[in-house]
Amino acid sequence: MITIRNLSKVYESQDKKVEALKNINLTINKGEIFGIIGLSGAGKSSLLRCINLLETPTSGEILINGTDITKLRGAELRETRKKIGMIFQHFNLLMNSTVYDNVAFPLRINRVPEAEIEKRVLELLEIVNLSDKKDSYPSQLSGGQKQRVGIARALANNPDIILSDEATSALDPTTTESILSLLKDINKKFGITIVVITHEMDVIKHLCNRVAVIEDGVIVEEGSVIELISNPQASTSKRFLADMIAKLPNPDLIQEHNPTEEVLRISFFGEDANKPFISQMVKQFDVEANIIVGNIESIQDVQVGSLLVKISGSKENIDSAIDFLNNHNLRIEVLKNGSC
Amino acid sequence: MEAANLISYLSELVDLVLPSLWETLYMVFFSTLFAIILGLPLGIILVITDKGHIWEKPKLNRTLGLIINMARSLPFIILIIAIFPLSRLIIGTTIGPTAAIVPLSIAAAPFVARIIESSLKEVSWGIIEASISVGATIPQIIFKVMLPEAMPSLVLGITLTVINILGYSAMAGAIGGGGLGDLAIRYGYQRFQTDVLIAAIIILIVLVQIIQSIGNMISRKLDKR
Repeated sequence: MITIRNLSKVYESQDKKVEALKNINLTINKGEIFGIIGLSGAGKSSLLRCINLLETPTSGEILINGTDITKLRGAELRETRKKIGMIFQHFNLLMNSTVYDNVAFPLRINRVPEAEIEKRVLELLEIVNLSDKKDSYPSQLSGGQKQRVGIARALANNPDIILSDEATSALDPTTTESILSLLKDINKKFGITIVVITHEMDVIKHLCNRVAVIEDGVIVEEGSVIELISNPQASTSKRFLADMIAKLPNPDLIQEHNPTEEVLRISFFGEDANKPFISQMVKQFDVEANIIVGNIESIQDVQVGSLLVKISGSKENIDSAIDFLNNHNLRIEVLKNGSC
Repeated sequence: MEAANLISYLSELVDLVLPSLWETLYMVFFSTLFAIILGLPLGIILVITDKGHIWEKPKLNRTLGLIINMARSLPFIILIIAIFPLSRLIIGTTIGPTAAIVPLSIAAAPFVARIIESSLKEVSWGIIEASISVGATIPQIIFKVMLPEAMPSLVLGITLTVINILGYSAMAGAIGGGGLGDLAIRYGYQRFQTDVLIAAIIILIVLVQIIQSIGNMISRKLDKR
């Protein structure tokens, strides 16, 4: 669907050159919800805006259904853009137009007959659940309602792709959730490919099938959301997942040079979460286990969690216990004093 | 003064002032109209040819800016005289309110261009980007997005223009343009008829108040932000 090849973007000002995107390669499949997560300034917004050429890439190709859109100009480019809807962090609605006229806007641009526009707009307002607000002005709406208008506008031309530029970053958690589930519904119902950029891990967790992590203009990690969460590699990924990883409440819990005690961080996901591996370990190796902290979350129907466990016993038994856990497809970290 | 005398005095004053008032309104109306016709495209071009905007043309932008600044630095009274040949060419004379419309429109056009430029710059870039993203053409962005979004501010700018032109029209009166300015100078200044001068001033004050109130009202009505 969308293939990005060797994409680079350099911003040049008087005497400075800023490389916002460095040789990005990415494939986004038809019908999936693809997330791009990164800290601010990482280049995620530039990357997203290259996909509908709001930013012109410095080099590289962006293939949408096989056409390199970076080569398009004028009318051809405008026609392509009509098939790529976009929603924005600050909604970007026409403030002096009603909800109805905002949603009708892309259709009027497209010179669709008024009768058809009316039918389509009412249908779209139904989808985003704003039928009763059609004569309101954006200033009379809440943030979530404004974003729904934005979504209806993005859907107006029956796009193949929707680009979401931090669409929930200006919204409170409850509203965020309702907007995310609306996007999910739209993806399911119409099979529209959605590309979201965000700095919120929650958005990725609840919405995306696959994710790319961007750091300083480079994609540092890419894969399914579950893979990323269960085994993050890049430092940015780990930072985003920090609140999902069990942390030591008190560093003094790790005593230095005590061979008969170890504190382990055990991360697990999927079916492993349901197995009684701790009690098996205790029975098999004559060690004692004390669970210090633990959390478990269900992400897109997969259990993901992490536990901090202090085990004590003889050095040999502890070592064999750790081997046992390692063999069970769990990720084990032995915490050293002062490391966490 | 007896009542009968007062009435005849007032009716004389009205007979004197009324034609001048009409001349002023006539000059101001058409000058504003032509100033907008000239200034609006200039203002739009100033905005869209700016760096990073929808029709980036740095050289055109700079040149146009320079010409507008030059035109604005010319004192109005000099401009009228400088434009006499043009007025004669278009209207056939340099005397009277119709002839005054030519320099008034030309003097106000660069002002209008700047006013429209600053109103259009208030339109958030996000909204323009949103319209680019739905495939809007440059004319569609100008006429369906920028102008409607800037309308409340444009109305205030045009109100300011009308009041400015009203002021200029009084100056045009000084060199044969007619209108209230002409009346005030001929009667009030040259013939020491202070009452006529005062009447002209009062009418001008009232006119400015009315124009500003109407402008404010329309702008408020249009503003849904």
